[in-house]
Amino acid sequence: MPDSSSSHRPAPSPVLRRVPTTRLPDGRQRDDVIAAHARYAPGLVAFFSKRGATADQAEELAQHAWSVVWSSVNSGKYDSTRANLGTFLYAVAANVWLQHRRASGRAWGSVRPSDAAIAELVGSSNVADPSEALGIAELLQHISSCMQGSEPGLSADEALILRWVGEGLSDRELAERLRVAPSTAHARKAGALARLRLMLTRSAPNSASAPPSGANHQQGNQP
Amino acid sequence: MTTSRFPGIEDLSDESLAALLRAASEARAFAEGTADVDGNAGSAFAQSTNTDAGTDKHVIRSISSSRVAGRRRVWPARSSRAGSQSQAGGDFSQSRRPWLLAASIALVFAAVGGGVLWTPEERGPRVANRDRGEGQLTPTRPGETDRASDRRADRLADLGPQRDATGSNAGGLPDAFGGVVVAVFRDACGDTHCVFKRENSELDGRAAAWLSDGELLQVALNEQCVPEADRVVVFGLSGPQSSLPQTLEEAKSLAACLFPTAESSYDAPNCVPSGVRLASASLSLSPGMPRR
Repeated sequence: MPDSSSSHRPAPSPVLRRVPTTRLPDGRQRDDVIAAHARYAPGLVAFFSKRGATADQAEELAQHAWSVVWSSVNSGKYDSTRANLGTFLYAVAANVWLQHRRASGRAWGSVRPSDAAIAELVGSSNVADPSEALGIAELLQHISSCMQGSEPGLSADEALILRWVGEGLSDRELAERLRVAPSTAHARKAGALARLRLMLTRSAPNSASAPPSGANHQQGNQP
Repeated sequence: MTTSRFPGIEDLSDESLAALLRAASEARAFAEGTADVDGNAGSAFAQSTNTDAGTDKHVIRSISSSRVAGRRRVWPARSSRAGSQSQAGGDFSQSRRPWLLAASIALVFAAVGGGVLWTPEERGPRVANRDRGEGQLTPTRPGETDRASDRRADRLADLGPQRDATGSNAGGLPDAFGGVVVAVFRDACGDTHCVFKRENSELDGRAAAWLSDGELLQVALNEQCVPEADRVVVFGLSGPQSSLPQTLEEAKSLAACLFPTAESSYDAPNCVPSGVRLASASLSLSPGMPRR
């Protein structure tokens, strides 16, 4: 009887969809990154293109981002329990784009609000640092799980409002969806954001250097 | 020693936090491969939005405490009007000026025409029995003005069954007016457990649509059939008897339309038949809102 657990490997690789619970052996992890490259490469080029990069620049920046991801995986700086590979790649790409903007001395006014918010968090540190990118990826994944309503500290109402804010809805559009006055929608949005901020700033013992202790949001991502 | 999980978050403004939400949404769409080529995040959550459990609550909050005649007035109408005003703010002089001019002219003509047609005899209050002359309108009760008579007629219209019982139909009012109260009990999972209706005659002669929120809820809670229900929503409807739900099944279908479940879509403005007045009230029966 063939051993299906060792010989048969479902495609696509689990690391593309879910965060693996344990570190995979190096060989398999490399395979996963190669498979991820096939999946994410077009989207990564599009990521830079829609931010204003030319086709050549987009290809070059995408290669740069891949090299950062590749070296992070090989050197063990990428911790799959903190963020899945897709989110990590997004954060690396955002950081590479910010670095490119800084290097070219272009104005920050035209940067997307989402990129500007990441830049505000990264501050003046090295934006190409994989650990910074991993921290950003972890934060984005945590926010994403909050928006999905899988965090116990947020009500379904607040998660829904956060989801709509994440879609880029204005106060007036929020008011239309909630069928309340715009001022009420603004107040409810502010309340949901305050709750989110509180959850994100919630103290965790010795969490600055170590991965998030609870990683509660990661539990939901396990297969 | 405790440190913040994500240093710097506490210093972010609401705008920056909202931008981070946008980034998280984009990252999720990117990771799932659903981001479109045009740069939109692909709204990774869009599909789950309409079926979210919170939607019902918002719908009910919007219905609650709103009283309408015929078609329900909803916030979007007001918001879109405000939006169009703000959008038209830039070219107000070009787009609105002809309409303003036409409206002003119409107002002047109406004022002049009204002054010509309004005879002095009609200017004073038409008090009953003041003049029993031929062709004069005479209210049904002495000492009552026409306006008060109209108000009473409206009340009688809402109190149809009682008026039918007395057999008085002298005012020429349609005699098929009635009212009904429909209550819906729903549990935390959104399943409807109990729907019942009460006619005007069972409400001490009160018109259903003119009951206060507390009275509507009292009617429902006196009949509570599912003690573990999470929420009760009560609708009071008054209007032509033919437009009101006659059977319990019709009441259930109307309740399903007014108070949609996660599977059904929200279409409350089209649920209320024309000419029917609607009042609603809702109450959460659980000690706390359910959390996921």
